[in-house]
Amino acid sequence: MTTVELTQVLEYAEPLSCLVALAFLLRSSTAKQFRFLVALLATRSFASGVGLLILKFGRHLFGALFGYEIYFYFYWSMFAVEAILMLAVICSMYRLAMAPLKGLQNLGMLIFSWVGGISVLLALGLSAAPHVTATHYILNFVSQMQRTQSILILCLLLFVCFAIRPMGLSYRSRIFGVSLGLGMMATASLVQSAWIGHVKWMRGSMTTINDAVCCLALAVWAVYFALPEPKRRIITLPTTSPFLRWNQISEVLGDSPGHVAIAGLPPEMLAPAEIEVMRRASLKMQFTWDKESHAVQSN
Amino acid sequence: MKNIIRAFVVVLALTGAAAATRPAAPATAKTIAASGHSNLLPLPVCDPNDAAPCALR
Repeated sequence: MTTVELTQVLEYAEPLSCLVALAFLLRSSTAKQFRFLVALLATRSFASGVGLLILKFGRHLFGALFGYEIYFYFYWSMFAVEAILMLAVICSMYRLAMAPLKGLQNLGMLIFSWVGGISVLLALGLSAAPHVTATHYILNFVSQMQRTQSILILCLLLFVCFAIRPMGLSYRSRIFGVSLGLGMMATASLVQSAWIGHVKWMRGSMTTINDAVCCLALAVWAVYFALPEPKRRIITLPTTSPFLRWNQISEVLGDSPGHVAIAGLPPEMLAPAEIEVMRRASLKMQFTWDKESHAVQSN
Repeated sequence: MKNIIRAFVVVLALTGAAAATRPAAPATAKTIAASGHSNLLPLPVCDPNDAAPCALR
């Protein structure tokens, strides 16, 4: 089997793998928890199916050049939609993984938002260059964002892999399985992006390797959703654990602080009920103090 | 098993990091310098205004 034939077989295998993974995910009744992954798999299946139809019949229906044009715009539109969905999947995986540690979850999402905002600004700036058309500008921007997203995915995978025990998860957890699949796709994507400058035509050996890795990642997802997931362990952390400490710190970050009147306050600032409470408290204190002083004198 | 999984994840991350340090080729008049994509469809690398090398076959 030649490389081109293998690539074509893998192209047909992708929508099928997506549908199989989607079927296992829906069967595992965790679709609500992994709703962004469901949307991503459904979009990929649709994009692959329609894309293959355009490649197969586009030349006969629209001609070779116009067919390519349709394919070009369809591909990049779906690319952008999938990139947004993948970002949503990364966010949801992080939220699910950090669910027991709410403080760290909020802190992570805050950092994630800042990183995302700065990445968008950088991508907008870096995509601009002299003599760049609007099409090139948009494609450069989308590509930069996809590179950033791939790096974020790998960071998430490293985090989930090495902090898996404090989060009560195991390597058989679906959160890890989804992160692993995403990480494999991200690595293949980054390697291909480094390679793409040398490509003369749409199909090549690098495309075949990328395709094989993607099919493997989809197979990983299918297996993880087909097998029963072990229950999340009860998390017990030592009191000296940095996870616990940082979680406590993160929980109080952003809370509005209390205020103290440092130079006394006039009575008109208090409500009548507060004045009454303070009057009664001072009477009680006076009574207690008198009683104690009498006791001392009689002794 | 745990160490194998960890080693695999580290290899993935290092490969990705090494690939990310290589700058993507700049867009030229004829080709689209795009990042790779996880989708298995062939990547359209030609500008639609000069699509002869990528015309559908």
